[in-house]
Amino acid sequence: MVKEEISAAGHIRLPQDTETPLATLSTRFGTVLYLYARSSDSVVNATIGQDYLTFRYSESDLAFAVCDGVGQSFMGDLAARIVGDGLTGWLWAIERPQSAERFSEAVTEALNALTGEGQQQVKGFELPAHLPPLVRQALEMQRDYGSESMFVAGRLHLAGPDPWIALCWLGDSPVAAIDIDGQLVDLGPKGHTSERWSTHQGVKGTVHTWVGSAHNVARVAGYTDGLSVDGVPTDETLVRLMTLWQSAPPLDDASLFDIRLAPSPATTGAPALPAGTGEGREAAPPEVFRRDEARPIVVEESELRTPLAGLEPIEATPPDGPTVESWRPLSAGMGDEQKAGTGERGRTISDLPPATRQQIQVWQQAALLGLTSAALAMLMVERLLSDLERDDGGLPGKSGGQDT
Amino acid sequence: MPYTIPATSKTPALIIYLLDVSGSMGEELADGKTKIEVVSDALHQVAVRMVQRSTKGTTVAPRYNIAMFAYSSQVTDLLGGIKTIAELAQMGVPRLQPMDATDTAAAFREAEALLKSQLGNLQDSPAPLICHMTDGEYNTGGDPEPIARRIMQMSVPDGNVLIENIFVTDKALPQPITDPKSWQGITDETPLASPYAETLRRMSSPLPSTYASVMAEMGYKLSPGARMLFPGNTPEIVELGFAMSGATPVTPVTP
Repeated sequence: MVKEEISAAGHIRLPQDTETPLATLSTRFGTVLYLYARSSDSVVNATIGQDYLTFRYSESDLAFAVCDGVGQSFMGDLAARIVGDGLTGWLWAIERPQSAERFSEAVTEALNALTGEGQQQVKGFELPAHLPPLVRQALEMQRDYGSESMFVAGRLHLAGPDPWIALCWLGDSPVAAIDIDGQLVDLGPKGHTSERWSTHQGVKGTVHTWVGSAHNVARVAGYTDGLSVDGVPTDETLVRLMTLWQSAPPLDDASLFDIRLAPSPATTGAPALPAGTGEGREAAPPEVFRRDEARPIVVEESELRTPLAGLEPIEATPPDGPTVESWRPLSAGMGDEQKAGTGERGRTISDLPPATRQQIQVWQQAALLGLTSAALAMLMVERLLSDLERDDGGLPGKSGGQDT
Repeated sequence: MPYTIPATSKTPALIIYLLDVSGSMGEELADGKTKIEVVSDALHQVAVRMVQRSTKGTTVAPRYNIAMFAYSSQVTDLLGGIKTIAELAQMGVPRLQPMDATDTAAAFREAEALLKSQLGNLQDSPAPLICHMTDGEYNTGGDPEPIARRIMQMSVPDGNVLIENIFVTDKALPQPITDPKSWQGITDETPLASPYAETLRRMSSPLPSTYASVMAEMGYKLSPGARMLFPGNTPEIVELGFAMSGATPVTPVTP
């Protein structure tokens, strides 16, 4: 029985003139994480950022766009908004594309149809009166060139027997899909900085696309290069960035859209180990998460899907209670249970093989961060332990086992 | 890979202009403008281009730090110290006036002193660039080449300090450059028609490939490794030379 308050539908457009700290939103099909941070230049000069992030969702559908306005074009923030809003609206209305190629063609056509509106907005944009002549001259030359934006966008349909995902991107903004085993889904070639949508020329370059089943996809993330991260950011990375940006804004505008459809080992990353102990520390809940937003992923009985299909529905934490209320210390709990069941010596987490220990710590951290429910985390931990027992030899203290 | 650090607000590029304002710069070119007017126009254009490359919306990010010295028999600091491109955009580019003699060495000594005082702050920034514009050989103050060689030996992790020379003359090449857009530049083997052009070639750094890429985006076909020497007395060549001074990459370079 799910008690967690979730949002059934909505349309989010993040403001470009202020920061949106890493936030989470529980939906029927998963947890959405998003953030928006202006560059230090924009913060210092009190101007809007060039990125734009918007998404729309219902009980089973989602469309999103993360746009990176090109700074050296005319008002890159303008192109980012036009692409973001136009593309999200268009994606929201589409059926499952027949193929990636057809999807690319359709996206290109949709984007080229936005140029008329784009040119009007560029033409009608009034520059501030106070600009020095040299800056005004530079911007007027840019106006002739047009406004440009790169983007990552996607459409997810998560109802019925064949849930699907369609992703598209233009430019070098990273996009990633991760499966339930923590492996990156091969989405095809990366984009290049020369690929943009232009108000004056439409699509420059090739719209890259991927269309596939949503089965086994645990996470889809799209973000701008202002995050300056190597690889898909883990929760630990996101928390670190949020903490860092509180005192030092990023060099470039940064925005992220990240939908968690199911737990995955790569979702949270390995917890940091304190030097000298060799043991995983208990991750402190990050301050950058607002408490009322730190909701777990909700799995409803009627909507069990993909990696969780076949498991019993689980109970989420009550809305008013802390997300990690039902978390039990692993070391003490396991030791007691094992003693009672086998009469053998108490077992602690440090007795487990490193791989199992790490996976347990990942789940523990996910629960602490509010990215999954404590109940689901406990369930997965129990499955890990029972898998270990079934494989035999993994549990120290048992006959034939080896200490680690 | 050298010369790959992009010019950003946190790691701005230092560009030092050394501008010959000797009396001969008042001579008219074929189009009726004086040399100094052509240079002033080109300087204004490169400032506009730098602003373009630094804008985010209406904000001018301080990607470039600029120093500007005019020299004749004396050296004049035109900006009153190093200014960011945002500050220069506020101030506007100064108009130049022809003066008297040509003490090129004094200008390079000024640049050397400035670099010595700044190099410690530029360890994470792109290699500094000196853009020297002249229309003829020095007639006072001695040979600038030894100073230029010392400067070219100065370095930061991104690479050695770069020197480029814009030689506003029609006497440097046996044949004038007819199409600057398709011109590939001067190599060590290119025949030159004047001894001072030879001197300036030795005072010119090899063109980094990253700069050549940026110039290619502007429509030029300069070959990497060509000397950063731009001889000619047409506005197009002067413009090319000044465009080069603003060609420090502003986005990360992928090898």
